[in-house]
Amino acid sequence: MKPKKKRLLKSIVACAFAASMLFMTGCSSQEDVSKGKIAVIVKSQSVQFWDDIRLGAEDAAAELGYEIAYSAPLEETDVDGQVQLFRAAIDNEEVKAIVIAPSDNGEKLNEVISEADIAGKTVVTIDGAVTSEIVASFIGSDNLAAGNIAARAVLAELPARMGKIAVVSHTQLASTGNDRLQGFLDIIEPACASTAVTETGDPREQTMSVVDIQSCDSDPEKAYQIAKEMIAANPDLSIFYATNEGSAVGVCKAVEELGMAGKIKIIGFDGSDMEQSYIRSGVLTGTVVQNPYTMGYLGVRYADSANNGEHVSERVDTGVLLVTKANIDNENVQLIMSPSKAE
Amino acid sequence: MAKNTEKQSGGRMYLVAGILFPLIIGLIIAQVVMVNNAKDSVLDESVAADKAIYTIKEELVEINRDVVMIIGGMGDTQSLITNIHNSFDVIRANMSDFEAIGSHNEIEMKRYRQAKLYILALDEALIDYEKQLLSGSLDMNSARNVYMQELAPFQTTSIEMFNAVVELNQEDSEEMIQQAKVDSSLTLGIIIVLFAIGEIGIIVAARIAKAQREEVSRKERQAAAADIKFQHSQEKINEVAYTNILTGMKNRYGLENDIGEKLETTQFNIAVFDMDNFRSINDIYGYDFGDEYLVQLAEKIKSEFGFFGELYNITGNEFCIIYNREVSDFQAQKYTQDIFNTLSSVYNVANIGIQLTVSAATYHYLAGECMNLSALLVKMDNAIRNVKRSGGNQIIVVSGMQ
Repeated sequence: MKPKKKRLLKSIVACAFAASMLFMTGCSSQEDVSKGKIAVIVKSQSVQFWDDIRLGAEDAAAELGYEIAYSAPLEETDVDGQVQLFRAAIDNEEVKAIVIAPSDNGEKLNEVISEADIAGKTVVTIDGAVTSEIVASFIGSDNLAAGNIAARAVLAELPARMGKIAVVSHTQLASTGNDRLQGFLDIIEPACASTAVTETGDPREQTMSVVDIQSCDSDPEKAYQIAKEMIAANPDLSIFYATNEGSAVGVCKAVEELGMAGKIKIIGFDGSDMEQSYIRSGVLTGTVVQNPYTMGYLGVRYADSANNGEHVSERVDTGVLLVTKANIDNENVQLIMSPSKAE
Repeated sequence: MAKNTEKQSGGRMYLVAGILFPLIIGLIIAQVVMVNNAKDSVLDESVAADKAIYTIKEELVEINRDVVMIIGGMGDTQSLITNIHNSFDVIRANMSDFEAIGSHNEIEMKRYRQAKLYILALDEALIDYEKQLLSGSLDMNSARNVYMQELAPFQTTSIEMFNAVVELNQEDSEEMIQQAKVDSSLTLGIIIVLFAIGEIGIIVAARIAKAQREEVSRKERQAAAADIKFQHSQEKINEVAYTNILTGMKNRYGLENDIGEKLETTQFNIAVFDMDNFRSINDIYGYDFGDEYLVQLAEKIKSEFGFFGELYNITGNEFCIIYNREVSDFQAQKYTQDIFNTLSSVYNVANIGIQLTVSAATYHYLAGECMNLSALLVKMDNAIRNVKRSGGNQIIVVSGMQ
């Protein structure tokens, strides 16, 4: 073969090879280009409840093609801390939407929520609600209903309608605390009042009453101290109602330490591992379990939909479930309480 | 021979190209059909999955409606509860259908398992709830509250999760179809590239073969041309050999060359003329003068008698004519006399009048008489010698060969 012809053939083969290489690289870049970030801001870092929210958020982000920018202040009471994190999310250009479990019901947060709206970023609240109307959706438990359910559980423990009830709530700041207390009292107070009248309609001393309500600021240590004090002050205390994980754990510790497990019943909130073991050991009579995984999951999904201009429900009730010794080992209950097991 | 095989191999290559072409087309068509089939099956499965989930959601709505009716005291509680059970059976059947479809990816299945979880939780909660409803321990308000607070959220959550499954399923199907298209395009691309390389290769090879063939032809033509040249030069050489350089007439070798066959096969009339005392011209006037005289003689008889036969200058001063076939014996005699006269006329050579006499012999040759020219010429020469002995200037008719 003359040198010229050889060169020609070589260049043809080289071209063909290059073309097919281009083809392949061009075709293999089918990877999803990230859609950006969604900020998820929760109330604190130490509680399992928030971890479950994070899990749900990250699953949704993986499905949709986002990254999660997760942050939280150290304390659930640190509203200013949340405001700062919120502002940081607004300033971050990569963040397309913000999902927040608010530490207050809007007094300080409403302002930054408006700022987010001006910056064109969707805001979705989870777990608790704020009064701002700009929020695209609130996804969380119906805390009033949860209070109702807890009340029903308490009443189930007092079939004779006799006994003293103490409440250790977690906060007066946020809607969760307020609503869970309110929902509880909405059922309990009429029930208690009805014990002031006999069947025949004669007045008598209330046989069932709420003797104390205190807030522990979600601090288990504080809850523990408060519970001990309450027991000391009310030796014939029948049942505690603790409105979140922190308060429930503290109350359980106090009751267990004082050897009053089973004698003083406890209806708590959330299903952390610690609380599950308290249920199994009989210290915790029942706990109202929420669906933090779904809050995180739908929070991100709704943020994405709202960002795309789609219509979303303003309110999604992610549901609660009363877990007792009777159903704690039920497979579905387990999976709902520990969403990481469903992976 | 070489030409043939090369033409064959060139043809063979085009045959290969010709076979390759429909083969490649066939492959391309097969690819396209495969992609379409893949697309169809992906779409079929996607549709089946969507249908299953849609049915599940519809049944959940039915269940909700039935419960609301029970709470509201509308319809027969027992039959509504039976409806609810039936709805769950349908839901379970459709969940099996969904799970039976093999093409779901991991993310989709994860979401589906979550959705299923809430359905199962709802199923269990409903069992308790039904018991409470049937026992009448719940008043309408409480029944509603319990349902809305404790059961409905499971439904809502599972529906949300199922919606997500449907979305993921659609994305997944699109991706699979896209991937199939990409794979197919890639394969097609490679096939086309290989085909192009193949065809180009064949074309290049064919061109090379053609070039080689042309080279051979060129060489052959060159050789042929050389052959012709050789022949021409050979002919030229022959010409020189057969021609008397001086007079430009064919010489004895030419006669020998021309007469060879005739001796065997033909009769002809031949006359030979020999100039008398030519040597004296050379002696008196020089060879140049003599040459000039011969040239004039040759030209004269050429121009006057060349038409009637082939003239030869067989030696310096000897001429010969082989009369053409058309010339009769009588005419031949006459022409011989004319030539005799012409040759013995006066010629002006370098302003000197020259005249010589001629001795001539004629003969009517019969085919096969002489083996060769020499034999014939000896005869003629003998006759001429006789004429010269008797003083020359005479034509003698040679009679028969002895």
